[in-house]
Amino acid sequence: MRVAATSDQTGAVELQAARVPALMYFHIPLEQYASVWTPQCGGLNDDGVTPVVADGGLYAALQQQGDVRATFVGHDHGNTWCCAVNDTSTPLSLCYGRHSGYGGYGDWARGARVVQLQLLSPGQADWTWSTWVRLEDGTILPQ
Amino acid sequence: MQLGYRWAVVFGNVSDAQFSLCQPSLVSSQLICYACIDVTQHDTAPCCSIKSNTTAAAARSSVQSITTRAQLMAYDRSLPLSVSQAGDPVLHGVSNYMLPVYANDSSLSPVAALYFLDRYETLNARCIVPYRPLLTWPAFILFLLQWWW
Repeated sequence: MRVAATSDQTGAVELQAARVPALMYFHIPLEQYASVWTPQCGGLNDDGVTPVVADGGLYAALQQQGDVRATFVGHDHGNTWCCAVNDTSTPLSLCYGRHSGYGGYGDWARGARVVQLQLLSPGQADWTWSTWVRLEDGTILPQ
Repeated sequence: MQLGYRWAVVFGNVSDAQFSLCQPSLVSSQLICYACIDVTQHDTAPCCSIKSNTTAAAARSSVQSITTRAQLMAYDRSLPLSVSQAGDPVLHGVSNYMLPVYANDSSLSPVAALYFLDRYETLNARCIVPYRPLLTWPAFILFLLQWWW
């Protein structure tokens, strides 16, 4: 862990810890979702990828900052895959959730994506993560 | 919700349409409430949609009122198990926020951060800086002790 002291405009000193690894959630996929899928990604790939036209620099920030380990989106109800990308300095996965609503388009079985963080050592902000899909009837689907 | 799990909500749509809540009998059911979101951008007819999306083929029924995203977020945050946060008013959207995650031990510092982005295509990504939790004094002293030893 690294501790740095910084000053804001008021002169107050803040003690800050090193950045914390993170996950990120939003609704509409990034453009990079459209080109990352391979059969190894697992899950369903029953839908097109309809990304945002412009991401406001979000993906570049993900690449540069390196603290976000995975992003999770919805929007394309028939997709449930989770793919690792290789153009970032730190591991990043682009993932879908699972169609969960009762009225959205499509008749895919409803469920939810579960994400589990496993601390590597107590008290340290470092972890591995795993994910799976749990369907409404309790069925567990890997990835 | 029925299982007692905490949850957090992030809105996200291409459009910034208003939402429509269903008839009162449905609104009174927390589980169904969010199944009544309508985001039909140009559809001014009262409707009750059961999707939070930009395509709008939706089941329809009578509506009680037109509800904004901000009102829906306020309602969500009023529920006892919600950990949703209102977004920074400077940013577009109502649900741009970050939740720190703590280990289930006595650790005083977060071990993870969960970012929720509303309409990120309109955000300036420079606003999204890595989360660096401010150390509390007990945590800082603990850190110093760990570092010293």
